[in-house]
Amino acid sequence: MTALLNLRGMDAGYGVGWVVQDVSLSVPVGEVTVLLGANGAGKTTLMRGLSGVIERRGRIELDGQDISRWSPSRIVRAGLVHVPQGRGVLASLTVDENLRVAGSRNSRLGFQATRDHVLALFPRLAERGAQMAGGMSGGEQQMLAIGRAMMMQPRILLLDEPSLGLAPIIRRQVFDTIATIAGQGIAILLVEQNADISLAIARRAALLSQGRIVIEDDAAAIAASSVVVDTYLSPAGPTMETST
Amino acid sequence: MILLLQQIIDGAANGALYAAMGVAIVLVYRATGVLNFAQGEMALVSTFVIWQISAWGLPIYVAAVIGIAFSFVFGAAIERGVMRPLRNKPPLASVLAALGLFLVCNQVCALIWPGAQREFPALASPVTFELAGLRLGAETILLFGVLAAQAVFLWLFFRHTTWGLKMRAAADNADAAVYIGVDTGRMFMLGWGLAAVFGCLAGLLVAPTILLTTGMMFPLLIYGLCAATLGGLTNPFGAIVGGVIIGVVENLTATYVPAIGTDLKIASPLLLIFLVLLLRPQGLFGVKQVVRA
Repeated sequence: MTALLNLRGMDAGYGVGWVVQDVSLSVPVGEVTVLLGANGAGKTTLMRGLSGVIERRGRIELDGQDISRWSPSRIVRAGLVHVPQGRGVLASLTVDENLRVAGSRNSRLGFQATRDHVLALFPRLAERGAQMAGGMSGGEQQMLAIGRAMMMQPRILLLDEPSLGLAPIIRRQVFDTIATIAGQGIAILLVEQNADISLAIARRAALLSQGRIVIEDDAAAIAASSVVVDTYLSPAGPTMETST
Repeated sequence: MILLLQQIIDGAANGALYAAMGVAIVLVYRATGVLNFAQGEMALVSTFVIWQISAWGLPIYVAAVIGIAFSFVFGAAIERGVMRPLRNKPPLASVLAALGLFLVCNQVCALIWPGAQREFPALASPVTFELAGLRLGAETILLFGVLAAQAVFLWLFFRHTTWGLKMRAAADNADAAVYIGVDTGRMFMLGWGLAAVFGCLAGLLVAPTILLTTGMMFPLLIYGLCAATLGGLTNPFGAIVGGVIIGVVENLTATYVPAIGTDLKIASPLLLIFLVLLLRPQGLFGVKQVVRA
């Protein structure tokens, strides 16, 4: 099966040298692919490059089309939607308005159906509709960020550190929902420092170190390899996660 | 008692002008973080355009519609051509650009339309209604209509239209808005265009009551800045409320505080703002900036 997103020799950076170099990776539909790496490994840079908001070069294929020169808005319209680190909710808009502005390209009928679908994924958002997004808890904001991305009817979701700052029980809920979304036929590229919780829902995993992919394998194989975790992911390694 | 009521009504009607300028300043500030000192002079250009079209023989309301359309394009073009290139430069750059724009707009008007002052066509007939001892001019009623129309437009546009929501999204967090497919550049242009329309409205309403001169808009800019600051700078509804409060306070102090009178009445809103900002730095309806450590 060919993957929805294919990277071949991709570089990305901020105009002064390439932070991410020579990345080749495939993200298939219907499963979670996780990109692990320590702080500063280049995970966020890689995602920003995919979204087209920073400089990038190399081959970036979305469903067979080279998107490496497309504008950010064209990439979004093509179905690649990025949930940035720190969630990026629109704090002064209500929850409902956050969903509406993201779903504004849908037809009225499509909008209702998509909104119902999103609220079924995150029932909490339905209760919070009229609340200002900025006043919600971190977990609710993360749900809103992912829900808002789903309003755009994505074919592939890029999720940047969705576990950041969440209590273990909320984190578990969010990751369960991410797995559910993947199961509905959407490709998911997940970036995480938290190895255990992300490897548990991923099928494939890649490890980024100093801007390059050093290992790519089945998630289960990487989870089983204590060498990988200890070498590349400490100190945010397995010891932190035993409590969940 | 009748005098008091009359003063409040007349002041609130004047508030429509201050509100329009205030909303213009807020729209620009909220969208692009620029305090546009040229807002009044941009409106001056549009008001002269309206005068010119009407002088060519078209009815004033037709001229007004054309002028308002012109002001929208003019405002959007200023954003794209002058402000956009300065967007990621130090804030002082856009302040200086706005001051430069102030002078250029003013001088261009003086150059194209020389002479001291011009008669501007009236927008309302000079009839006055009497109601329980209160005098209500057609012009006052027009001002109240414009005031209400502004509030309704803002509410409908920013809460219930896709464009309005996208503009708020771009103003709230431009980086995040890009990820949900909002073309932030286009939203900034739209914000400046819309602001220019509100400014033009203020110019159009004030010109018939005083004569059309190149110095006409500067006091209105001050009132507009006051209305915007009072309302909280990021909330267009706040600017409307701020404009009305300023109109009323100004009129009341001019009538009841002899030391102020008509000569010093522009000072009273400034004093009011000084007090409000001491007690509530974010303005009446502004959101307090919370900076996380």
